Amino acid sequence: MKQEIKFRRVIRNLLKLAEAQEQKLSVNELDELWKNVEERVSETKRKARLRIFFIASVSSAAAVMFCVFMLRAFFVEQIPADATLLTEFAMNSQIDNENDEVIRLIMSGEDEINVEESSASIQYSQNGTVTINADTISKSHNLEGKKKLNQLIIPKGKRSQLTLADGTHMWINSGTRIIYPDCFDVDHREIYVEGEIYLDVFHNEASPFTVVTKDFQVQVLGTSFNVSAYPTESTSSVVLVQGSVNVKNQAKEHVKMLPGQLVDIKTGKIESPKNVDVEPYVCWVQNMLMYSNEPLDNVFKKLSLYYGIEIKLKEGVADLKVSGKLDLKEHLEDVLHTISYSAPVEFETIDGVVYISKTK
Amino acid sequence: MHNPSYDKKDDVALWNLVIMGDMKALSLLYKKHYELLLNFGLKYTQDEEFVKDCIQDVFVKICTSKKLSHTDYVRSYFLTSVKNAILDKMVSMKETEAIESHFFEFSIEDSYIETLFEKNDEDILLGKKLAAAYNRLSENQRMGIYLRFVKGLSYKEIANIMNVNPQSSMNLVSRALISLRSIMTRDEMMLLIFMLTVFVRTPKYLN
Repeated sequence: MKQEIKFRRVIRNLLKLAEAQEQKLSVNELDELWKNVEERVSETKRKARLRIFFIASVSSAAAVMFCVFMLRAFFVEQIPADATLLTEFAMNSQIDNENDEVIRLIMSGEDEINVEESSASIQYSQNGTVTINADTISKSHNLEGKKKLNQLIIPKGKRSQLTLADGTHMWINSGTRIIYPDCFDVDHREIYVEGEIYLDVFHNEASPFTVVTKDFQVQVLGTSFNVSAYPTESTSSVVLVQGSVNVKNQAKEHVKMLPGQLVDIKTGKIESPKNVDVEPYVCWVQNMLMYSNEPLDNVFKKLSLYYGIEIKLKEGVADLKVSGKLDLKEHLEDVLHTISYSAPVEFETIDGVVYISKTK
Repeated sequence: MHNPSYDKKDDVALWNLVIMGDMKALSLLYKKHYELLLNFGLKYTQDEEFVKDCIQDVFVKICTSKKLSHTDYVRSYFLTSVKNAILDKMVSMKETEAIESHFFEFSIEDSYIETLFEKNDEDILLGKKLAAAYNRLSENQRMGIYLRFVKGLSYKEIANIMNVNPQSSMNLVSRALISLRSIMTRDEMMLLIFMLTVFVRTPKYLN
């Protein structure tokens, strides 16, 4: 019994000692620390706004942008050499990424790197370094000078930026897969896309840049443009902001576009260009959605993809029309609130699924 | 509008408000758990400013994140985030050597232990012996014992931080207790296990 009492005493004292070594903070100190968090949050938000402004001004100066919406699987391929290689690679490396929650970078078909943050910034530099969110992950990806294909998969609810070795910079939207070589050949540059990207192509007249999608290709010499080619969308379209591009399909039809024009591609047929306001098509780069007289159906489809959250519409909601601008930097709840001001809808969240119903 | 009475809400309820974008709820959680996070972080490095920076980083990130998910173990989520932030930052600062082994060590200064044990030589000896044995445990075992007995976390919460199931976290702690046995006589050890079991059931016993 004496032993036991001694043990109780010693252990209690040791734990007391451990407890005494712990740091304590006053209420005032805690208030100050939290204030600092709040300051840094508003600082971050301000910086984000500044950067977006910068992107917007650069891209409009740089020239061309266009959007492409397209349907997967309604075409027979007839694409030139490298494009065929890319498309084949895309088919063979088809990955079920429906339920992915992380950004995946698959390098040379072997190494896979996952990024858990909601956005990644990936950079390939000319000396062969690859960095993700400022961390260097590979230093010798291509010492033998042999071209290797890399694959980047962005799940729903995430976004990414990528700089290729030639200096081409791109913004990659949610639910997108892109395939690109770790270095380009001297006389041509090609990448494959499923989903939506905005590109700032490094100007190099000697080496044309081609974006290959399942159904068509877009060729440019060096400019900025936006490709949106979600396999689940039924219509493809290209929107050009500035400059000039060529869109061609497998049937060798092609159309040269002028700035401010939109071209629809329905079941592989290129339709004639229409003049449009281009901003709604490219403002996702600035984390915005812009609509005029758009069925809610489409709006919620985009939101679901962007936030990676399932949204179900109850009767009578899909065809309601809305106009306006949504700031996707806000929480989904705030965005839904904004919509509920401009359309007669209300929402509730049950088990992670958002249900939208018409206000009675 | 309405003013939810935050005081009555537990961590999970507050966290659900945070998911909906409620910053007031996050500030309450922050202030409630800051000491825990700071002290936990200080087990990785003595650099207090460094740890504080990491905690701020974690909460700034929570504030600006669009995708927060539900958790039943809010404390565990915070602790894990802070731990990851510290390790990431250490790695990026190339201080990898510093990470190796000294986590959660329990340092006892002689002068301190003597006051605490009222100059009872036998107690001091046993105390030092136990502390030394504790320091020879694995990092995870030390972390488990620290979180369980000093901080009063549940095995479920600890399991969540270590990313194992609750049974494994209990095993981890009990294996730790068993390896403490090696430096003590059998009788002493039986008592120790008995004592710690008492703490497990009633952490309030300490106060």
